[in-house]
Amino acid sequence: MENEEGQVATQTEEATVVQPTADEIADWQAKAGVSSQNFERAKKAEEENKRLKLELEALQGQSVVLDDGDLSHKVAELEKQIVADKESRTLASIYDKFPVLADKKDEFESFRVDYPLEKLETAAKIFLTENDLLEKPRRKSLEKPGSGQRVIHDSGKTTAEDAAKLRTNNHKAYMKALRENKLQIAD
Amino acid sequence: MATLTNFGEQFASGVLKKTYQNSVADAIVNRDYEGEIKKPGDRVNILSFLNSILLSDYAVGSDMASQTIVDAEDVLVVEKRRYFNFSLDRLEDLFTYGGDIPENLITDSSKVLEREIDTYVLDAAGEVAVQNWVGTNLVVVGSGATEASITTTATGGTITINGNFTAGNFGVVENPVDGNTYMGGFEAADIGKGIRLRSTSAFVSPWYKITAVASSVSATITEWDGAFSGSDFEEGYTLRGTFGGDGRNFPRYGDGNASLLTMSALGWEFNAAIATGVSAATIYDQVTLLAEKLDEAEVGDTDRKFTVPPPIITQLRQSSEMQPTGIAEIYSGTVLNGRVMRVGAFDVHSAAGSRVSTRVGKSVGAADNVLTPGAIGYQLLANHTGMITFAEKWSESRVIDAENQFAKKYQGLFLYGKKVPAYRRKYGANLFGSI
Repeated sequence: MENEEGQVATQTEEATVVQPTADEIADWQAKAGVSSQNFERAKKAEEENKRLKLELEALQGQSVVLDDGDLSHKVAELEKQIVADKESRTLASIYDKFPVLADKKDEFESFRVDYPLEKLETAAKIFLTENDLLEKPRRKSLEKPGSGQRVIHDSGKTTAEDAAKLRTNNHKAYMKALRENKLQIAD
Repeated sequence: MATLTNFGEQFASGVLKKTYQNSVADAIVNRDYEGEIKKPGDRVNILSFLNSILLSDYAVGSDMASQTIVDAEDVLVVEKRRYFNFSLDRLEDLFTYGGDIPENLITDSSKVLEREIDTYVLDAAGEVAVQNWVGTNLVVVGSGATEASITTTATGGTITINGNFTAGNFGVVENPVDGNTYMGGFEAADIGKGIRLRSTSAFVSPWYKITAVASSVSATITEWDGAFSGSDFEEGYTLRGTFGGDGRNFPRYGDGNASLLTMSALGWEFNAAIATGVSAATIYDQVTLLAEKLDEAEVGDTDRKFTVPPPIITQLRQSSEMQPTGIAEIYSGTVLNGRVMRVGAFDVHSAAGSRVSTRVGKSVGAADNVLTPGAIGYQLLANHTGMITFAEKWSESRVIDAENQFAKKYQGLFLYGKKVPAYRRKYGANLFGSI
C-alpha cells in the first residue's frame, strides 16, 4: 500500500489502524472549517490592505499638508461661525415674535448679555415685562347670543317696538326705567 | 322729531312719567305684589299673615306646642279700565312746535290721570282699622232702658240694640261728648266704622267693625281685620275680647266673671261718628293723635304719610306749634308728589280738588224720627306705605286710522287696582274732620 508520498509500507508486523472517533472527526472538521474561514479572512484583509495602500498613495499624491495647529484653528473658526449663525437665527425669531423689541434693540442687546442663547426667549419676556411692553393676552369674552336682525338706533334710546314689548311684558321694569330716566324712545 | 309711528309709545311713557312725578298716590302706596297684569280683571297676589308668631315658655320635659300660622293671599283685582281716545288729524301741525310731542298735551293728559289715580287711592281712607279713626264719638250711655247685646256668628257677630229704639223708630240721643243730639241707632253712614259696647264705668269691649246695617236696631259686625279664629281668640268664639275690655281702659278680659255676650244694660259707642272740626288751633293735636294710633299698632315710624287738601296745609302753616313758619317746611323748591312739609313724623302731601274722599256723618236729630243728614267730613288719610298695594299697567297704546275720516286716532288703555290687605288696615289712620 502506498502512502501519500508514494512510499510503500513495508510489510512488517501487522499495522494497527486506529479509527478516529466521531468526536475527533467533528473536531477535525471544525478546525478545518475555522482554518478555511481564517484563510478567507486573511485573504480579504490582504485585499483591503492593497486597496487602502492604493488610496493612500492617491491621497498622498494631493498637495494638502495640515498640521495640528491649523486644524484646531480651522475648527475653532467653524465653531464660531456656527454659533454666530445660530444666534442670528434665534434673534430673528425673537424679534419676529416680539415686534416691539425691534424698537428697543440696543437696550435688549445689552440686557441679554447675561443670558445663554437657549434662554433668549425668556430674556426677551423678562425685558418686556420689566419695561411694561408685554401685551396682555386678550381675554375671550362670552359668545354673544345670536338674536336675529339687529337694529341700529340712536345710542341711549329705545325703539318704540322695544318699549312696547317692555311695557306689555314687564310693566314693573318699564316703570322703573321711566322713573330712572333710562327710557328714551327714539324718533 | 316725533313721528306718528312712535307717537303711541312716546305718549304713554311721557304721560306715565309725569303722572308719577306729581301724583300723591305714587308716594303713599306700595307695589309689593306677585303676578303680571295682562288684561282687565286680572288678579295679582299679596301675601300677608293674619296672626303673630307665638313666643311661649319652654318647660323641660314638656312637649312644645306647634303653632299654625294663618297666612292668606289677598287678591288685588285690577278693576279699573280707563282709556284715552283722541283724534290726531292735527297732530302733524302740532309737531311743528319744537319737534317733540307738545309738552302741554302730555302735561294735560298726565294731570287727568293723576287726579284719577289719587282720588281712587285716597278713597282707601275708609278701610283703615276701625280703632284708628279720629273724630267725634257718639256715646249712648247704657241704662236699664237702653241696652245692646252681641250674638256671635260664624264670621263675627250681630249687635242688637233695644230701649228707645225699634225698627222704624229713629231714636235720638244726646251725645255726652259734644252735647248735640244725634240718631242713636244704626244707619248707612255707620258702615265701615267702629262700634263697641260699654257699661257705665267698669267695662268696654274692643272696637268691632260694622259691616252691614240690617235696620236701625241691628247691625252685623266683624273683627277689624275680618278674622274669626286664631291664637288670640278665646276658644269657641269668633270675636276677640268677648270677655271684656280693650286692655287699656279696662282689663282685657273684664273682671274674669262677666261675659260680654251675657251682660245686660250695656250702652254703645260709635267711633268717629261725627266729623270733628279741624282748624289751625286743633290740627297739630289731631296729627299727634293720628301718630298715636299708628304707634299703638306698632307701625314703623318711617314712611308715614298724611294727605290733606290745601286748606289744611294752610292751617298747618298757621298753627302756633308750627311757628315760626318754615321750620317744618324743609321741602322748599321742587315739590315732588305734592309733598310740602313734614309734621309729627309724617310727610305731608297736598291733594287738591276732590281727591281727598269725604263721607257723611251721623244724622242730627231734633227729636225722635226727626233727623237731618249729618255733616260731610273729609277722610284725611294718615298711613304707612305698607297699607295700600297698588297695581297698574298701560296695557294698550296704538295709533289707528279713523273709521269715517281721513285721519289718525290715538287709543290707549290704562288698567289699575288697589287693595288694603286685611292685616294692614292697622297701618292707616283716618282723621274724619270738617274744615
